[in-house]
Amino acid sequence: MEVDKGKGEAEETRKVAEADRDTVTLKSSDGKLFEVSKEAAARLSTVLAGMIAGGSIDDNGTDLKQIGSEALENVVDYCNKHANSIPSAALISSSISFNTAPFKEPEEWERKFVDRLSHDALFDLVEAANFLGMERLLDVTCHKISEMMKGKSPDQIREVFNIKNDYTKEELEEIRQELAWAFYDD
Amino acid sequence: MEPTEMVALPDDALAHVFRRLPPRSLAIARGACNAWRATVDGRALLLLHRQHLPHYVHGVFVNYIDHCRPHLFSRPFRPSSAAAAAEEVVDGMLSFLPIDNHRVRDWWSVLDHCRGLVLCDIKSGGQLCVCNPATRRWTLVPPRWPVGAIWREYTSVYLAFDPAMSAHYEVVLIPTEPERPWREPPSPPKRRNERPAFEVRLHGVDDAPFCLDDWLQSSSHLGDLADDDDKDEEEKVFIRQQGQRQVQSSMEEDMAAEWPPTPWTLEVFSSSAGRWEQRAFVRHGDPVATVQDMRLDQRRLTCRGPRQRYAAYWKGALYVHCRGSFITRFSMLNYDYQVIKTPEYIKKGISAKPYLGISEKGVYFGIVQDRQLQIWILNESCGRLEWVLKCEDDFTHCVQHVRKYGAQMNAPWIVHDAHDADNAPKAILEERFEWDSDHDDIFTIEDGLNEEHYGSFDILGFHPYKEVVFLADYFTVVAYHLNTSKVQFLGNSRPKSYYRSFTNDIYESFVYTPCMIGELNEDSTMNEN
Repeated sequence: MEVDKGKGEAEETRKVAEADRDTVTLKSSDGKLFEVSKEAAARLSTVLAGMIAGGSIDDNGTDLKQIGSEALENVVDYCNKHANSIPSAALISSSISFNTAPFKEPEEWERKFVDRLSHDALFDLVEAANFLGMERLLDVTCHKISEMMKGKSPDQIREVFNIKNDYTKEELEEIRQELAWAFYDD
Repeated sequence: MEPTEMVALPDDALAHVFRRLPPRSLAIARGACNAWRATVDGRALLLLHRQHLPHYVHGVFVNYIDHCRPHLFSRPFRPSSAAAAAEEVVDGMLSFLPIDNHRVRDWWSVLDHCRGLVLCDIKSGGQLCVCNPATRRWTLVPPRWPVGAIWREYTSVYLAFDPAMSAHYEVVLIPTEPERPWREPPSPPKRRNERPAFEVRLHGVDDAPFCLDDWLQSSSHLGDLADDDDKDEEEKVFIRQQGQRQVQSSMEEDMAAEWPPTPWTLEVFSSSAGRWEQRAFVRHGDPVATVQDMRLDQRRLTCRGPRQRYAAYWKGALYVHCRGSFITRFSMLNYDYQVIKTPEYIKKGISAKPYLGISEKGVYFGIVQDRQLQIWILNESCGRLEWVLKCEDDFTHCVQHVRKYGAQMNAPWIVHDAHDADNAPKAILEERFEWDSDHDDIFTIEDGLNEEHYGSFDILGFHPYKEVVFLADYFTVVAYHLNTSKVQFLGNSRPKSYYRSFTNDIYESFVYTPCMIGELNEDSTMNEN
């Protein structure tokens, strides 16, 4: 079985983790294996925390069929980076909540982390974070995406996000009527 | 890697993204595709903004006597980023309006404000315009009177808008005379020459006022006979007496008629219908005034304004302070109305400017007379209207303090003016959008100030969400907390561009709460007729 040579820090963590025998092996949809510190995984992901607690972790690689290798690599990278940064109590959250939690601005390293991603990688990472219940990572990635939406016209948004305009002419007119105050530039 | 569409994102994640957007961006994103609209609407994400946005006081719009334009008096705002500047800064100068401020005839003012929408009369009163300073959108209301009509003499204009209920607004005309003479111009000759000089100057754009007495007497010309030289003296006296009696009896009949009538038919412009409509409001409960009461009440409360009495919109009802010393509560949903006398406040010989507005507990009525502040809350339990006295405070010391130390105090608020780059206090560097009503600049008033005092406060408006009243001593503005009696100094509200004269004063003022909602179609069809 081939263990993917992750990026620098991932590899380093893996070595440390192996020594401690305190790691989790995760398997992407395309069969690549990644190791991540058990502590970081449990702290940052509600889903992994549940699996670890429930003993459903496979030593040969826990199958995460919904997550591709690139996204999983980013997830692991994020966990490791996060473990290296100063953990903040506010980030340890017991349940994922989409509704009320006040959002904390991304820290500098988090901003850099998402800025280097391509659009596709970013969207995949959002999906992965959502699937794994990683609230903080979801916050950071969603923040980045919302930054990409701000101040754009509907057409520009469709272009950036590769969305097909599936409205009829009548519907478009209706939407403009409803929210005329928003369309100030067209 | 296959091309990714964000549409495929989990609904939760998409909603997560949308929650980070300011309202305008969110509204635009909603228009990108069906799936996004479903997410926004399904989770009522826009409604979150409706609740959150109009909940702070940004400043006060002020009309000045004999000044060409209103100004916003508020905390200066420095945007924290370019994006914020583009998206969220309120245009205090309303520079987006179709007004040429360099043209002498383009005088304009704010007529009313309601939850973020501002009703203006532009083109020297010839045109009504509704605008939203936060979204910089405006629309013209179709004219209800001919160009040049002196409508301000006959009617008051108010705005009804509640974004929590509807994105549409209504403009309501309340007659201040029993008839609406702009349809049938009044017959009495113009009396411009008889008016005192100062009034002509103050209201120069207006024409002669409609005079009810003239109008009533013109229906009976019996008095004219008495001046016929052919009659002998005795006959003249008889005719004159008869004439007076007849005039008197017809007048008495007219004067004793209850006012307002029921049903009371008002002209209402509805933005959803896009046209003016006549709506008949039926009275609930007893009348409180007659035509005579109305006639005896001055058309304008004082020569310093307000030129039209204040109104307030609260939970689907428009409360209007009407000529005749009463408040009418119009239900805009049920088409009925109730009336209640204004609280008993009149002290003889003191000109004061009562204010009707919205605050924490509903509709408030306040007045300062002789430096005594009185505020009542309208209690509406059990379907009856009733005034409850909220406070009765003596402001003599406060006036003295502000007069003595006002110039030395740090002024957190400024007037937005055309050339006011140097007007912003340099000390204010915090990027605060909202005035912090609990912590800003509270001062304690020294005891023992007993100098001569001439000044008094007028009410500038109520804080719509807290029991705070804004007061102005001439142009010096303070905020007064009704429950704690704390006084906060806000600054000087005199614009630099306002020429100095003994007539300088504030006409009307409206506490402004920004709102990002409100359907206003930018109107490019305005004619320069």
